[in-house]
Amino acid sequence: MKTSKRLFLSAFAFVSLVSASTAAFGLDAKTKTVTINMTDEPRNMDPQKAQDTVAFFVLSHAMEGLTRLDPKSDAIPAQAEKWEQLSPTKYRFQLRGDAKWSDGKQVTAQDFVFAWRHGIDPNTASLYAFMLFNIKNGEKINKGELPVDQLGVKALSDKVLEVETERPTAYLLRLLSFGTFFPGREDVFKATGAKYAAEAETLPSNGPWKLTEWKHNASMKLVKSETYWNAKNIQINVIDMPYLIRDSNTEFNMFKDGKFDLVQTIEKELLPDAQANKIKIQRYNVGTVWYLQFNATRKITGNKWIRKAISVALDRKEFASKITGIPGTKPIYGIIPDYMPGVKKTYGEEYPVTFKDADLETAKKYLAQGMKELGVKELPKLDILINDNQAHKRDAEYLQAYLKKTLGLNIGIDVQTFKVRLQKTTNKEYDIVKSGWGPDYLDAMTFADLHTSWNTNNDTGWKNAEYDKLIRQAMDSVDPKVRMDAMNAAEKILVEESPIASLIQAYRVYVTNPELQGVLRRPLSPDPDFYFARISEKVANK
Amino acid sequence: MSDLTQEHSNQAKSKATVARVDVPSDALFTLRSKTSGAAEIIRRPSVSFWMDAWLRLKKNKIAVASGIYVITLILVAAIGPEVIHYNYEEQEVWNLHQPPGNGQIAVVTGDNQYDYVPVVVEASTAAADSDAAPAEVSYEAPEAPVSVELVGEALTTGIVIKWAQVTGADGYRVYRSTEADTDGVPMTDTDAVTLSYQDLESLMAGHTYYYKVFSFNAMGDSAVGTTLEVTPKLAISLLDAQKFAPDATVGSQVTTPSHYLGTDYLGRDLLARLLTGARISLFIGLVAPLIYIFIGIVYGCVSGYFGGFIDNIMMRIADIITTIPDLLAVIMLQVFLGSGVATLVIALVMVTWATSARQIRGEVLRLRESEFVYAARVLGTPTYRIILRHLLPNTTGTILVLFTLAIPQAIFSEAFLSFIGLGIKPPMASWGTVVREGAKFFKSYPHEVFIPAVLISVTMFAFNRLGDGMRDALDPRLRGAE
Amino acid sequence: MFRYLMQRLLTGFGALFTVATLTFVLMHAVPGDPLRQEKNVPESVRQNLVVKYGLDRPLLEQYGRYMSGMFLHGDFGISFKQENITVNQIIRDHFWVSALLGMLALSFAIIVGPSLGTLAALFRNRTPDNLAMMVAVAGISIPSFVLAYFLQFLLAEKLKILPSGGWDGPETMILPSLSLGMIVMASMARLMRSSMLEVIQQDYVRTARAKGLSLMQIIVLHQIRNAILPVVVYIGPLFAAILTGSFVIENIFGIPGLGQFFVNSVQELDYTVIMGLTVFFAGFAIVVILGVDLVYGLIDPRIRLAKK
Repeated sequence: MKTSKRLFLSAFAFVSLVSASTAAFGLDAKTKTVTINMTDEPRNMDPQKAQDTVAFFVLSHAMEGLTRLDPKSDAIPAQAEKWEQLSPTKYRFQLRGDAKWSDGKQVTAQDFVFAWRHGIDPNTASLYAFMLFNIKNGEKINKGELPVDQLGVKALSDKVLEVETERPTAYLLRLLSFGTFFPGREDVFKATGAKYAAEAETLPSNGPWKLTEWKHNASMKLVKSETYWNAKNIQINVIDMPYLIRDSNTEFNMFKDGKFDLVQTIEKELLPDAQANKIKIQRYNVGTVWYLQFNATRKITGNKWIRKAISVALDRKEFASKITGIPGTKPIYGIIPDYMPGVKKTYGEEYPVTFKDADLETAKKYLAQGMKELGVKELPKLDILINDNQAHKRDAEYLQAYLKKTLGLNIGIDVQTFKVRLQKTTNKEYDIVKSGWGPDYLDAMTFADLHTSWNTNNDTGWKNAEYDKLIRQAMDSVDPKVRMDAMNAAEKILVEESPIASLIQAYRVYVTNPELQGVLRRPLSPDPDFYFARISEKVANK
Repeated sequence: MSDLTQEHSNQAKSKATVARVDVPSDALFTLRSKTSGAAEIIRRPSVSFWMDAWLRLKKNKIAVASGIYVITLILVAAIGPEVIHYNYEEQEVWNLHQPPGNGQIAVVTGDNQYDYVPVVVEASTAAADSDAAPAEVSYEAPEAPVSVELVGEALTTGIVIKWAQVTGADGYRVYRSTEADTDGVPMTDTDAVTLSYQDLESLMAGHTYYYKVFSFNAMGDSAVGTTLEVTPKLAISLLDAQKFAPDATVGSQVTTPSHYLGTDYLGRDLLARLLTGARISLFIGLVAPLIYIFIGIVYGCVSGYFGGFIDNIMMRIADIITTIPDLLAVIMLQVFLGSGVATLVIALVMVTWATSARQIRGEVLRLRESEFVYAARVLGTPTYRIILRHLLPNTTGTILVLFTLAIPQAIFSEAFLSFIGLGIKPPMASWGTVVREGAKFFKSYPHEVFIPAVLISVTMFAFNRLGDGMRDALDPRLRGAE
Repeated sequence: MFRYLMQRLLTGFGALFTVATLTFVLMHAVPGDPLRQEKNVPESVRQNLVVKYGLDRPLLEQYGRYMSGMFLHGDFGISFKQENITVNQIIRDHFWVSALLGMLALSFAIIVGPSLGTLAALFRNRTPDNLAMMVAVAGISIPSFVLAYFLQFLLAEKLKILPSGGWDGPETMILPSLSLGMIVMASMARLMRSSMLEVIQQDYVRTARAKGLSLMQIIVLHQIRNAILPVVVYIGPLFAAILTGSFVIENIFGIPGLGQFFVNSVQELDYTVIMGLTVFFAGFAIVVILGVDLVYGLIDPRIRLAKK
């Protein structure tokens, strides 16, 4: 190292040592502060318009809905202290007397009515309005066919809310814990207009914490709210997000430095480092299902046998364990993941869907059949469309080489930026696209209705009348057995017709400071959930 | 003192106007005798400008070494990929992240590599009686299993372990670590009746894995876990083995071929990828500067020679092009033309031609006022001939230097763009993409990023030194100070 | 002088206008829909968004609205991605961070580079020269991101004398500035060296030496001023290099600057942010280049007088 540079560095080092930083970082037992990474700037913090994970994370801590999820992800009373079901589609909720906003005002039923109407209003252009389609007339209002006040929600009094659903919805209570169903403040909305929930000051808060600081693209801070009805059971006082670090390596380094107490997900490449540093590693089910989606409107991928050939040839076990390499990643053969609730146990235990994969003999037979039907001697090049993300690239490269090795297929890789990839997918300008789907709510339906003909998210161009019928049947029933049977039968059609070749159910690994306990991780928001978290006694009592 | 005299006498030949100073003799100075013959001795061989430059370049040892390196690299890149055993896209899924070294011994397995029957016990009879004995409920976490053992052979295709049942446990949690004294990564949670686990996760031969099995119930995990140390042997499937050992059979042992520089995250040979990458990086590094310097020459000559209004306009346009941020232009191009070598070349050309045009224009401006150009104009030489036969040859030196220094710049730009994800299509490799892919594994498998990074740096260093050497050699003003 | 200034400002403005137009054209020609999200929305909802951002108007009208907003009111519009934040706000919040980073990197380069170059020139072909040039060429050869990761690994992780990331406090600014400025420093060192060597040959230096001035005086009074000229000219393009380099550095060290924004916005097809940042950067570059030219003119009287 050159002398002047060495001098330069040591001078700076000296200066920095002398003026050592005095900020209290990391887990601070005295002030009960937890510090984590901000990960990204939320797109929109209006609960009815929120769409990204950061927004949902902050909102689910700063606000609260009628119900919330307990550690087993069942619905428990939150802003509503009790409810009764008057009919298969009508519910009446009694709001708590001590449910208050952070400015002291009472949370009223009108607040819910305002917020839900705001969410379903087509002028709001909310991406999550579809959640409100479960409420009577929701879909029609969002299409502009009915006025907003026809939404099936009414305030019978200040503290009594009546909700009417579009059809009997078995999972309604769990659904109501989600951000789109949070209440809102009409007075704040009228006063701030476009700036509603755009700053810490204009975000109405009725949850365990209050958003006190928000420097866009830089930092956020949640401080425990004394007006919250359950404040005495909240053990974490401050959730601080002082940095926005996008580089996972840097984030992990800062965790090792003690600047972060929790890293929401670490890549598998960092596992050896974590082990070498004796850090506590944990795993959680992120809930996403990954699959290869075929374009049914194109000649080659429109042929069922070609698609089945690819699906049967894939070695999902190898893909899950060697390529993805995160413990817990499981192969999946249908579309509905194992962890979804079944009738009495989980869906995976009661309705397993599998078939033999890595079966090259059968795959070659299917391939020959497909080529015969299409009348081609040789298959043209097919492209796999992906985002420009390192992990996707690796997966695509593996699949490309694997399919060439086993079936002799000529596969190319089409790398695009996220927006362009979305565009191409929607416009059906792809052969195969590597796609994933995460649950919007904890019921198998969120995956099952993905390939119905009416779902706007179905970009395959594939539809099947029998499939549609079975899903409708499941939607119209409240009986768990009827619903699960129907969805399972539909899933079998999916496997038979193979509009997709499913790959894996994803897991993630993450690290925490061992003194921080009780943080819940889920496939759905709130994730991570600090509601039940606490700092361990030995540190708290130092 | 003698230096001064010699220089002075050399200069005296060209600058006849310098007066000779009469130096006082005696005490301070003694006049050296000088014959007219000696004064006429030519101390430097009489050679052409280029020969002279070449001789001077040869004296610069580092530049010579760099030149040899560059030529060797180009030759190796041209022929190498055809000659070596692997190609850049062959994946060996059983051989991920291998450090540089020789082949290893492997056992060949059959199709049944995933076959695994979990050890499941009957639901505990204690549970059936539980409605009679609530006092059985313990308020403590269960004990750890008394034993954990390996089932069958430990192979990289899968390790199966089983453990003893623990009463009062609702389930078992298996951790795996590469370090002895830490829990490591949680691999799975089983239920109360499953007492075994099949580990398929990225096992590497010769590495030691420490499995820890904890039992747990509603009160928490067992205080300790029971450890088992396992070192798996390399195992590959018949299909994979037959690629290099056609008469392998299930159960036999084969030796895998060597990867001299190791393998990457998909088991591809790093040497092959770097050689193919060399082709691409060098191609881009040579072709892009070639094109944009050519454009620069044309543009610069026209602009510089004609001067005035034309020069003004042309330089303004060039300025505007320079103010568009490079990254934006590259990304836009990529969206239109897709990723690939052609796009990268076009992008680099688009972004740099203006600077090279400006530099050449500077040279032309300088030369334009020279006397030989003036003479040519006076003689009535048409413009194009002046440019082609008088100006250009005199700029060759500068252009050559520009070119040699532009190459490492282009190589760097390609590496940079690939690094941020704007590079060529996968699975193609260029040096930049290999660095990008390897950077993630910096800490665990440093060879994947270290080797390509060093390669890029050394190559850029060599081209830079070569360019420097050429510039020094071609610069007549330095001649006197030798 | 005044006329020259006016002329340059006018052409600069023209350049800005052209850049803005070019960017607008390029962006709208790119396939991809800025409003597309992961979940598809009913057409009616999407239409509302389209109207809100004015994307349904004919391109020419959008262009007109945009340009007038930008050039007449200095309003760059609202970000598509972060629906309530204006581009002006983004620039305001993050520009200073990038500027500081750039300034620190440049300072490092400007102070260390020419010093190194001078040292090398004075001890030409002796040890200090060889060492200095080794360092300089190494500095140019090692890509900035490789250097960044390496320094982070060595100094932040292994030796733990500097933090890995963030941007609060002087100690977090060292590694990023170093990584970013290294290439510039190395280029300046080499440039300085070669221009110093050239200057040494000049007659006026020999005259000064003969007049009895000490080496030190000569260096300060004569050589540096002349040798610095090519270096000053080089600052313009170097500025651009720092700009592109900063994106990766900001990413690696978690610095909330404008660089990260830029590539993110292109990937997200956030039209307004792209346009705003491009025009902003271009304008900034033009101002800097103008400044450099003026400074050059001040330092070198020959240029000033020779202006047509």
